[in-house]
Amino acid sequence: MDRDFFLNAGLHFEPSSQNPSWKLISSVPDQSHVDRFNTFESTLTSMVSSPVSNSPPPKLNWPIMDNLVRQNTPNLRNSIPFGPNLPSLAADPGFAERAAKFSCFGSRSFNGVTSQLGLNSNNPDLKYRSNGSPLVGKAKMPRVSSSPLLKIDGSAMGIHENKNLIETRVVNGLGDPGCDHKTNSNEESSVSAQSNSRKRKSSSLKGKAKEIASSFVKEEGSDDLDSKKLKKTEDANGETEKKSKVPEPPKDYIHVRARRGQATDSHSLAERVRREKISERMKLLQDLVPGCNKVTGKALMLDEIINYVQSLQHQVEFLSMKLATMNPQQDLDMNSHISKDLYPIESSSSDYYQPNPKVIFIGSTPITHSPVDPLPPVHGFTEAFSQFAGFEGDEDRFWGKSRSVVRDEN
Amino acid sequence: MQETIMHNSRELKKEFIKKWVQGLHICCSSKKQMNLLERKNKIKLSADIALASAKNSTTCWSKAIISKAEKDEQNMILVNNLSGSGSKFMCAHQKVSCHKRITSKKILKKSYGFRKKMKKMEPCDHGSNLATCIAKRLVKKRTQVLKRLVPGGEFMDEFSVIKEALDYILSLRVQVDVMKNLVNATTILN
Repeated sequence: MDRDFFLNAGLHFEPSSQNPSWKLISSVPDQSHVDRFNTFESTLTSMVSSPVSNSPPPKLNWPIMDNLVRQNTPNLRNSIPFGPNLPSLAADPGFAERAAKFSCFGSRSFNGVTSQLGLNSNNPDLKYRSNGSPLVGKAKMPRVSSSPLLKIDGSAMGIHENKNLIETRVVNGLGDPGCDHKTNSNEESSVSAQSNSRKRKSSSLKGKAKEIASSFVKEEGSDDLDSKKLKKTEDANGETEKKSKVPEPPKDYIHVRARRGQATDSHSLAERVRREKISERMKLLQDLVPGCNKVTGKALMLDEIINYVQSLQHQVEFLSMKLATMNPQQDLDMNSHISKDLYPIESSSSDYYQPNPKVIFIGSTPITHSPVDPLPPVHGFTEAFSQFAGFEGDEDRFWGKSRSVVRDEN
Repeated sequence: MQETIMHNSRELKKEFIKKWVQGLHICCSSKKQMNLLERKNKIKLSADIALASAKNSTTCWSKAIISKAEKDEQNMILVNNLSGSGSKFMCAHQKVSCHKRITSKKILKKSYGFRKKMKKMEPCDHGSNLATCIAKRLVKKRTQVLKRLVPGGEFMDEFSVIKEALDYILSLRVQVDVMKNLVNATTILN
């Protein structure tokens, strides 16, 4: 199990830009595994065991890593072929202990975290957190090595204990100017951020975890560490908090938990549910509206949405104006092609389309007999339909082309 | 998620094209001469109604478009042929419920004004409250704008406006797609 933790721990640090050495782990495909593991091991040792005094050694190791990283950057997201080399890892007893200490940060849900963090827009969130809470991160380091809980095998520690650990750290160590090793703090802050997001995943402790997460985010490193106060301010600043970070994942609709220190009356609960529904919708809209991934906060998102809708509506206006001025050719022969060519589009509804060709044909005959007016009648568009349907010849290609047209414009 | 969206938009495109062709036929079966602006309006209207009816009355905004179009007597033929009898019934029903909603909203608005007065009496507690007030006001303004943009949005609460906007954006995209392709095809033809 240590193996898994360690694996995933390596994977996890991939998104953090401040830890190039960790990226190495996920991208190692070749034979020099053992060498890299040794170097990694040593950095891990230095980082985990004695953070305060060991500022030089980690720096020494990392330049080596950097070169290796550059070679392997294209393989960043590939699966980790760690398998054959793991026995060598696990065999080292000291390493097992270190891994245990290390794994305390993320006992079981590393898996969830890596998949979550590696692939989507939580990254800016992560970065925000890792940048935003260096103080807290620093404070954690001394706790890691000294706490007796950590000696226990990491797998035994559920999320509960994790939470307790970090909670105690919050209470005791926020103002602690422990180690000032920048890289360590970054790593730790990313760990803390990761643990924050991990906590968000755990449904049972969601409420409390969110409090801690929000406290990290807002750097409530004040001396008054009464958790109640934190939660109250969080409640009051609910709206701004939502604007300051990416909308949180939606809670279960039925089981809404009142957080500690928050009013438990139905109004505020309903408010919270409503807010979360809205943020969920916003998230969906983020995927829909192009260029919205970096925008956080309701007001800005709404801005983008409004702009997009307006632009689409203007486009429709413009296109209809353009169509009104177009001058399609009149060709009786084309009308006979319409039924054939429109079938590729209407493949599913070909039965429905049977009577239509007659309608089109009948409808078009008056045009040829009537005097030609200065502006072309709208009928001509049916030919155009046939044209652009038969143009590609294949339905899939047609849709692909239309999509690519839109994409080019966007 | 992306695949379902693509699939839905494909279906929508087919429906839309079908109905739009119908609508265009109906439009120009009237032999009177139209100037440019009228033509454009006809085209746009037929496109909008076709889009709305392609949705088959599943969404609020589509019903709103159809009911708005029905109010104008000239468009009745177009609307009737495109949308079919089922949605007509829906539209009638919708009009009634809309009316009720409007009157009840008026009552609510009056009470809102009163409530706001009461709120202003309260002193502001601390700085963060001011920030939240400003933020809330911004969001409110923007939701109002969005409500005006999305057809039928004035009668909906904030949450449903966002939901409708989602759907509306998808359909608008489909509409723009089809129209663009048509324009390209006609330019190539000529």
